[in-house]
Amino acid sequence: MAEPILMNSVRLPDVSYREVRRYMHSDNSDSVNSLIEKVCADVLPILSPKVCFSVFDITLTDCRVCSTDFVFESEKLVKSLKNSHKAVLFSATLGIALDRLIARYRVSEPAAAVCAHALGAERVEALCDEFCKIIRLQAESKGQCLTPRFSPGYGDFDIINQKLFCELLSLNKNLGICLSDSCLMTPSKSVTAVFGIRY
Amino acid sequence: MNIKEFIKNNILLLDGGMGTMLQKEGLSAGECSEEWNISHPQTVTAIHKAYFDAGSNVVSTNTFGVNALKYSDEKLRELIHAAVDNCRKAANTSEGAQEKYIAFDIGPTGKLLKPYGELDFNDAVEIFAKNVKIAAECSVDLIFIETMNDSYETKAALLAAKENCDLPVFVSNAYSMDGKLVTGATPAAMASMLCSMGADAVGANCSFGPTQTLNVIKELLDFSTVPVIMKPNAGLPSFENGKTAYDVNASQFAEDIKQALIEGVRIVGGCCGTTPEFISCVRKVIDNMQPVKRCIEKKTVISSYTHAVQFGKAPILIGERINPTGKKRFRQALVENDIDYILKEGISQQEKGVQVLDVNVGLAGIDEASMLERVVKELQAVSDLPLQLDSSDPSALERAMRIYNGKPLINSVNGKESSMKAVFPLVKKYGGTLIALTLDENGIPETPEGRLAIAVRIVNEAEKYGIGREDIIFDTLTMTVSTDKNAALTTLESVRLISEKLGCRTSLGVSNVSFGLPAREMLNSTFFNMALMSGLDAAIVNPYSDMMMNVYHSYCALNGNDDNFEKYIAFAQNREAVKEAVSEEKKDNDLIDAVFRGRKEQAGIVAEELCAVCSGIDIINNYIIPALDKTGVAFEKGVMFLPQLLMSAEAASAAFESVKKHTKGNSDEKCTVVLASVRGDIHDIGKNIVKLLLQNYGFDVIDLGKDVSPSVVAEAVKRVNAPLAGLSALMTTTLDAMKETVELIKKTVPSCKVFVGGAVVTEEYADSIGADKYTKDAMSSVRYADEIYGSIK
Repeated sequence: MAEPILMNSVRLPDVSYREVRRYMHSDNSDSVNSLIEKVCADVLPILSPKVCFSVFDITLTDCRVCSTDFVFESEKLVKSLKNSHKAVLFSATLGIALDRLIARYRVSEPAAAVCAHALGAERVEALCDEFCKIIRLQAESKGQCLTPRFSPGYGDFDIINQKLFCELLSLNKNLGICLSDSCLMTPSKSVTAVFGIRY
Repeated sequence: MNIKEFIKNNILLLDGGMGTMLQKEGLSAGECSEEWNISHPQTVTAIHKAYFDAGSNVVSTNTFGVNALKYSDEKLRELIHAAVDNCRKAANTSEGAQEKYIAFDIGPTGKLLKPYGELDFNDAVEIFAKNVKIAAECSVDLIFIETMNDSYETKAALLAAKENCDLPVFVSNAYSMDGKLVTGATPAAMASMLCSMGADAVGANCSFGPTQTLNVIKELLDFSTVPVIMKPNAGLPSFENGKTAYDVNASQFAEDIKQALIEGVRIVGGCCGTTPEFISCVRKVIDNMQPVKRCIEKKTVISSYTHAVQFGKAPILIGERINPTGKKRFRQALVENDIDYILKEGISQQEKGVQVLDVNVGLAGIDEASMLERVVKELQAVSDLPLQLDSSDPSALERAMRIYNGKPLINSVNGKESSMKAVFPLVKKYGGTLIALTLDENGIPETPEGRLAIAVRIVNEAEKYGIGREDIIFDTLTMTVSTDKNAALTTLESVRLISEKLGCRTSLGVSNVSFGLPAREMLNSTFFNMALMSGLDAAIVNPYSDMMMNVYHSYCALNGNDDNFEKYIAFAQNREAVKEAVSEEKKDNDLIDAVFRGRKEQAGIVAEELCAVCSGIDIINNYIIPALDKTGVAFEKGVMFLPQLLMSAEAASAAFESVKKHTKGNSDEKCTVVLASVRGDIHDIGKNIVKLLLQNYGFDVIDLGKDVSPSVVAEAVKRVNAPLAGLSALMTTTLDAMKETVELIKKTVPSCKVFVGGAVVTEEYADSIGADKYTKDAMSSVRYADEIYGSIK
């Protein structure tokens, strides 16, 4: 099995206040926007966005995604990966400093805690988007395209597959990600997903 | 030759990568490397032998992933014995003439420790202890703790090693690209903690190649008082033409290692991607050079889990506010177990710019040891400042020192036989720097020379325990001038003498000097200034005192401790800004308005003023509650949103704090509500908002946190006989847990009313699982709680 690749310096686009407001279920008002601005000033400098990924050759059956290193059982995942001959397994994280800041906000500024959660969600999704964009450009140069990303826990793709992701990508070593007994990741703003490459 | 002897005058060569070597021999992705100790012993032995043959002094057992979380006690024993045997066979059959040692290898458990993960610190120590005990039976030469990327887990492993065997212990961490551990520790912080706890060598391994590791190594060389280890990867893996390969070859690797050896590294090896060829090349380099003698500077330094704080450069401020003495509100918080209040104090002081937080929770009638342990744990979760553990009870100190994540400051030890005997061993075991008071069985000497004499005795006694004078900071005791007009001068002269004659650092609690006199702040701040001029290295201060902070910042600026006056300018500008903001806001005296508009500072101030003319109850019922109701209605109407609701709640809390300060006794609480996010659910924002609002409306909330199992919830409800319980779930996968929890509560305490909420919960679902109420948002939880309270009152 190939060594997973670690990407430390993915450049993120500017924060989308609209997305952050969406996660917060909030209006486009001055007080909310200045809250987001203040939280950005605290949060952005402490993020360590990192991605780790590996590419696998796969074959698909009705309900299984098979490779020499793993088997995923999920009809919905198979549908999503239709016609793909390769699968990219990846994980993205913003690092643990954000969790610490949110813990502190919880005690001293609850409104900021809500905002920081929303901002964290926006940032980690932006990180995934940027990573997928990089892979997509490479694929397109070979006349290939990508399928949408699919995470453990969606539909019938059991969350227990999180453990497999951890092992295959050495997530503890590479990204400092640990799993709880119920397969939840720490740092909390972390994502694992798989998408396919096809012609 | 004993390995500690060997490294005094020789460079030590460790081995190279094991994982990659096993993969070449056929280890597949699903298999654990350590299993091969039993299934393929000859292969493992051959790899160990190859490293000995290539010139390694030390070969590590193939036990990186072996721990009690993965294996039963029996299997653990079997694996470890087999692993050591394989190394032993390799040592016996290798023809290398060099000194050969076998290291027992300990890697991370893969689980994150609390507060971010689920593994309790003492449980982690237990897990590592199991390995150490078995290894100690096998006559290995040393313990090698490696690739740890978390300071807390590293401490657990080192403590387990020190508590369960007498072997030398080497500790190496895996740093990230930013030069820190994943959980944030700098090499300075790690070196400070590990050296103080008695590690025999510290270093960096894995992560990247030699050149990238060098920056981390340089900082380790600066802060470590023991030999430094460097065991890098063969560069970084890159993905080209469908294959991954490391980008540094054996001869380049050896060249890079040579640079590190010249810098003063004493112990080297290779990690992922390196092979016996790499080790041969390094062996040639070592054979052609002399070990470099390092100039080790003995620093006075403490650390948290992120950074080190050094004494003797710029003066250090220790925030004094976490201390019940003379603080009625704080004492109330301790008695009521209001940990959040204590945490807020810590966070505010950090924002004011202190570098260390004093933590003192000594109060008659409470279990100080448990409270200190708990407060330190919780404080560590929200603040990364190093802490000064302040207690006269050695058992409280021990509990706190054990779980402290870093190298703590300990307040205090003094010249009494009993004190030194109780406290020195704790520092020896857990690491730390001591504040030492210059008093003894005869009391406090009246002269500076008398205090110096006690200091000398303390230094000599500490020496016997192996504690160097660099780890002792003297507090020459500030007595009040109102009973002795020479008190201030005596204290200051003692500071000067101790600094000059012993070369030790000093600290003072300055506020005592003005006891009994008016306008205390004026005297305190001037005394502070005088002390700084006498060479004081640290002071325990109230960071909310403008006068004290003025002195501090001005002194640092004038003393050359503030490059480009950056800190002074920021401080001065901030002061102006705060003054303006407060005077702007003060114009409007309406408390209802302040709470409604979420103006936290103003709400606190106006409530404070109102306390002079109204009773606490009146303020709550006539101002705060109506304001919250106004916000709540606006929120329900969709005119105000969650952030504004929260800001109002925060402003209400600030107003409550002012009221609490002036009210006698416990606040009148309605009844108890138990809250939890159900098992499997790590989302707790919604629950926390409900908690805040319920508290504002007078309920006593027991918050069990997130990912809480049904039995824990039911047990808590039963224990306090709570009439109300609230559950939240934000993931579809956790709805089953919610159902289970509701059923269990109903079975255990049928009278308890259960309300449920969360993004994935609906009214239909709530009904179907037997919940009493579906609360769609925070305000409806409050309304429901009021309704239930009204019916049982």
